[in-house]
Amino acid sequence: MSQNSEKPSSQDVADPTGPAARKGVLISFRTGKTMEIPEKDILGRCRFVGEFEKLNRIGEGTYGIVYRAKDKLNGNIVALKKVRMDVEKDGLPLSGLREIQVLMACRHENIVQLKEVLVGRSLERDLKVSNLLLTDKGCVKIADFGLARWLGAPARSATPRVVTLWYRAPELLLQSPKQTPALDMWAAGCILGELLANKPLLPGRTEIEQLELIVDLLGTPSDAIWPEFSTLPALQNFTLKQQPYNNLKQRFPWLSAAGLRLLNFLFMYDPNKRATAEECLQSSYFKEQPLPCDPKLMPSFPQHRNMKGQQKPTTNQLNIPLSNLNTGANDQTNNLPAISDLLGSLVKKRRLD
Amino acid sequence: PNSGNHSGGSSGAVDMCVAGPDRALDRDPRLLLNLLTLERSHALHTDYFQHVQIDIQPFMRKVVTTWMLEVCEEQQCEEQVFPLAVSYMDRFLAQRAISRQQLQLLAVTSMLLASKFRQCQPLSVDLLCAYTDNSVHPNEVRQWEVMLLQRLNWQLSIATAFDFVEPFLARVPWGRGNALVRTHAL
Repeated sequence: MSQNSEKPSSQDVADPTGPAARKGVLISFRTGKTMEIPEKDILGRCRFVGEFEKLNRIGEGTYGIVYRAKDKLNGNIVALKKVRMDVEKDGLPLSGLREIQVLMACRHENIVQLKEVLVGRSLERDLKVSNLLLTDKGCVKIADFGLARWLGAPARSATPRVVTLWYRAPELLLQSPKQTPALDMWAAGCILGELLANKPLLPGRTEIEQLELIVDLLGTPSDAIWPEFSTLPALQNFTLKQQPYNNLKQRFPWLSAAGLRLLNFLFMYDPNKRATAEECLQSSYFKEQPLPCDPKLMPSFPQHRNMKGQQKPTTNQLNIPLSNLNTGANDQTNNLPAISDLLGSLVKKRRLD
Repeated sequence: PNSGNHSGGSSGAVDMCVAGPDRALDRDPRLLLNLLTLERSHALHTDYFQHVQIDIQPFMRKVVTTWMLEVCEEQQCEEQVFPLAVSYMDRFLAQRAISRQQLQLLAVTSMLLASKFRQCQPLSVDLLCAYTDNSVHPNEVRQWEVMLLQRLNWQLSIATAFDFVEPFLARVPWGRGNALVRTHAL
């Protein structure tokens, strides 16, 4: 019923302070007369947050709290992200804005979908196991694009110091000014290693320790394998310890040659030589036994969160953080012992099959 | 809109981390296709001076965009901030009539959003208001930020002409040889 594009009369624009949305002319279909835009509709139509029933807290990130919630209109289960606004004298937080941009552009079954922005494309840059969700149908979903950066065009001026320490690529630790999608591929290598080992691969507590863990595992890099290495800013102040051996094979003695090749490819020190996502899919690791199964054939598991109360499960969209996989990595508060056992055996089963 | 006293002063908001061209993207033919689709979906179809605005005249847009460019240059903004901000402003103006007194407020809000989208360190609300000689109040900017976002359907990621420069340069043999080619293309 609103005729927003209609030219308002000149007296309508006289007030310079009020929001411009007030200046639209609204003609009621019922009476045919002009009317004021109701206060609640000034910002346009977005749904009232009360239409969602909070079920439980899923987790707490840097920028806010995520709840599992039920849409009261259709019963769908959604993730509700509440963004902290208390200290935002500069308006909406930049991470939230960028996250919304990425989610709006992503239509993929492996990514948590954006349904609604309630007021009140990319480098993920924060890939870690606690940001991966596994539905009870065995579908992996990536969540939390709070630090994602748009890559529609060449990436410029990306915010430094992103990515959880354990999954941080060496070029980031050594303060390279360049950030490329190779960052995510390093994180993918760390996640693959974590899934294979059942525990975090490189759990550093400080940036220095993180670098040492990387060197312990992969050997000290040099200009020969990574041409920009000695020019990296961090190396102007200190030197890495010397450790000549690549210990991936010792770390994963049971892993096939193809599996080790894939890990080594993901852990190339030089970001330019590191595997791209497309190259990984070509890896022969995915063509040998055990073959990746159709997602529909992934083992499903019972929905534990719902069991806590007396209510029966109403949904098939329950997301469980993979981080509960014995890693101790999670910042989740819910105790889900049975699920972590189940996921642990799932991974082991895959390894042994 | 006045050009302000520029009391925001020294250019503190320099982005130090600049990523170079991304070879993985250069090779990908989907990049240009996506950019073209994106550009088409956000093209304006109306002459808003004719059909929407009653108070705003073309020369006012010129004055305010010149002021925006000055602010962006003095703050050494990332090069995309200015064209993006102008694009947000145009998309808003194609939908809603505002008064000339509100034009600079809209410009400030557009620059705030564009800098949040493109820069490590966005321009601060206080700084932007200082550039208006305090004719715009920070509270207004925070209020308009949400309103502008709603009008843009929260869609900040849009293609500007700048986005096409790198993919084009990557496709011609002389594109990357001389830095001046890029400078003049922008």
